Amino acid sequence: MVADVGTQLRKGVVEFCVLGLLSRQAMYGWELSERLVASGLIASIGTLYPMLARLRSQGLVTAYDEASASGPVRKYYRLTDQGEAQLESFRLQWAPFAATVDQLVGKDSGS
Amino acid sequence: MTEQTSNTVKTYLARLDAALAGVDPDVRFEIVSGIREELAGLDEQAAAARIAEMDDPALIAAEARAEMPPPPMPPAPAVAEPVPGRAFSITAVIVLIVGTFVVPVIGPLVGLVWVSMAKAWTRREKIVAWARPISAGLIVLALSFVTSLFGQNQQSGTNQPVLAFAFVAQWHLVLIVMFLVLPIEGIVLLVRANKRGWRAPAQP
Repeated sequence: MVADVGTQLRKGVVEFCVLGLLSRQAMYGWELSERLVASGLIASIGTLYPMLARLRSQGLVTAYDEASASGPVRKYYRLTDQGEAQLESFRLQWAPFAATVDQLVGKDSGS
Repeated sequence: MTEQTSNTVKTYLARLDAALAGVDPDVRFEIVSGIREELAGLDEQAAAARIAEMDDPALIAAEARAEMPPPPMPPAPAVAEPVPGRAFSITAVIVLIVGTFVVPVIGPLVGLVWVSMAKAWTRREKIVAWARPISAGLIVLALSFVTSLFGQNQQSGTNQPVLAFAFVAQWHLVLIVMFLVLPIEGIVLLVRANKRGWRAPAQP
């Protein structure tokens, strides 16, 4: 169980992290992947696309093609209104949840 | 992009596409397209350097597979529910068939009672099972009565061949009811119940 803690935690929040990134700006797949890999939330781009497919099928994310000034036409992903609402719901729950877990598992500052 | 770089990119994308075999086709297309986008427009050195930084196609494919929903579980083999009273039904019908020959009268009577109690036949079939030998028996009694009347009328005329014939016919009827009607009825009930797995069909 201990060995799986990191994986389980990442799995539980990574989709919301994608929603959080896309809520700031539309991003293309590779850009998203690099950001998440750098944060240690996914291992490779292979993890990202199945997740994006799920988010799109749930109507939380949508995709569109856009030509960049310097490069090729890229597929960008952005949040839908439903995705915004889902993210907001997560934000409201995350802070008290994290505080509760921290309180329960955190070391006593006096010891 | 030079031809060499083109080939490097093509080779990498081909390896990636092959490694993604079995992954959901839409996801497979998205992954390859996403990486193709990233490599497009780069010159030879830049493309080669970018590919060198990228993960091995096998790793990307393994990650993609790990993210896919598990295949649906095959339906669990249906556990055959035991048929209620199957053994009793079989015993009842065998007693009806064999009992006729082993213990005449009592044997088939017990068989019929057990058939009535068994769950392999409908109420209608049970009623018919009783009605058939009883009606056959009544016919025998009626014919016996007719032949006895016929015999009394013929006593004065001493028509011995006719009397003998009536006597033999009467006993033939008794034998037919005892040793033919009941076993055949038992066989019919057995075959019918066996065809439907020893369960009575739902009654309307």
